[in-house]
Amino acid sequence: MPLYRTDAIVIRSMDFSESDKIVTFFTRDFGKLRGIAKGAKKSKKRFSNTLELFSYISLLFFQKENLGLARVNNCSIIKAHMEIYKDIEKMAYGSYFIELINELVGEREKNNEVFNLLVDSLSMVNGDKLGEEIARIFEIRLLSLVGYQPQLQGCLTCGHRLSNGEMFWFSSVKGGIVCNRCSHGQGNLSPISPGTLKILLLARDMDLRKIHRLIFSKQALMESKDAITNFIQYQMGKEPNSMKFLKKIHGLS
Amino acid sequence: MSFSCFGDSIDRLIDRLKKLPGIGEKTATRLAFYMLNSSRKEAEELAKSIIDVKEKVSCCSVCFNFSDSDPCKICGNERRDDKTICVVEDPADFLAIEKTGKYKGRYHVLQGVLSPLDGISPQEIRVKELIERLRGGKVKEVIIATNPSVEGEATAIYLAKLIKPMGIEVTRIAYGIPVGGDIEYTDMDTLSRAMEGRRKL
Repeated sequence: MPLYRTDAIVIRSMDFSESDKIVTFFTRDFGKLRGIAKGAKKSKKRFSNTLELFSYISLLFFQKENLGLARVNNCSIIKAHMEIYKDIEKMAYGSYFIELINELVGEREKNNEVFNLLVDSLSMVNGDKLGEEIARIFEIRLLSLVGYQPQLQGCLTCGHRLSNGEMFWFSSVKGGIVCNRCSHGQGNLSPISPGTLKILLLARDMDLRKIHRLIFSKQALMESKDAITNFIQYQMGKEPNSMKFLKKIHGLS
Repeated sequence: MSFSCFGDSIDRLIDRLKKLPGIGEKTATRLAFYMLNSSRKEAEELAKSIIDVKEKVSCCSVCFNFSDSDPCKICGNERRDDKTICVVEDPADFLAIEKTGKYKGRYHVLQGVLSPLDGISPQEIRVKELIERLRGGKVKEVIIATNPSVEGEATAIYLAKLIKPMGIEVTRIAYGIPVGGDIEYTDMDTLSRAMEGRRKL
């Protein structure tokens, strides 16, 4: 029975039977992976707090064949992201990221770039950067990395290129933007200005290490949320739970 | 469907038992045979106690714990301390704290914890009711005893932010090394919190 070691982030943790846990990891070398941690609920010594949501860990596991649950042997923590759960909004954004990964990435699909994106985004949420900005960056980058990249450079119908001053419309059904002329007669469009499109393109293509410098204007945040967040919901076929949660806590305050 | 060779009524019982948490085919079959071999009285008592639980037990309208009566025994007990409320996630946690016998105040059962992944927001748990209770002005201290998990911790901090502006003291149960534990094997996080939360002897 081979033993593997990889970096991982805990994206779901579920109690199972008397003292076990079934944990979903997003790993650097094996993609999304489900494993069982025997005795995780009882023995605080063995896994201690490594199997908590958002934990960035070094994971050691056994795998019998290439199917079924992996058996978690040992974990040690790399980064615990302690700040995330001190703020309910940060926690909601962190949950949103792992929920999207859970929904949009298939099991055992290795994707190093998605892994780096998740690690960096969680560590940004753990820092001071505005959750909403990180969410927009995460969304557009994730969509590109998993193969749902929306067309943002020019009109999908007539090919009209992005130019200064002209408004465009985003269509979730078409997965991209259409120009003013081609937008007639189409339902469910949200307006998107060239400034917003430019910052989205930057967010998509910029070096991940420099991305924390990117700042969205209020308008850009709103427009890109209407376009991209809805596009994701259209692709998923439902509204993510953590998005609903965010709306509710924003409604409360 | 399971392999059937006993006739419908036994199979049906096994199927029902299998639905209980933590019970598989083998255990269900064993339980079914035990019931079959036990006296009629025993079987009736079991059936009756299940029905009783469903019919009589409801939620206390003050603390939202499970109870036969409303208000429950603890909320109705005048000798308990009105000045403190202990907030727990679910009735099982209430039971664990009550068993210690150390706590003489009141309780509030949230019936869940905040969890964005499951879509459980403050509206889904008994937060509003807790705040209403605190408005009475009797309470001086709220002890938050949610689990030290990510969700429990987030809930604790969320509640603290809500309650502190009301001028009520909010405390969190201590973290630390379990009795009979071993410092050498305690994880870094617990140990550092245990150091922070140290106290005078």
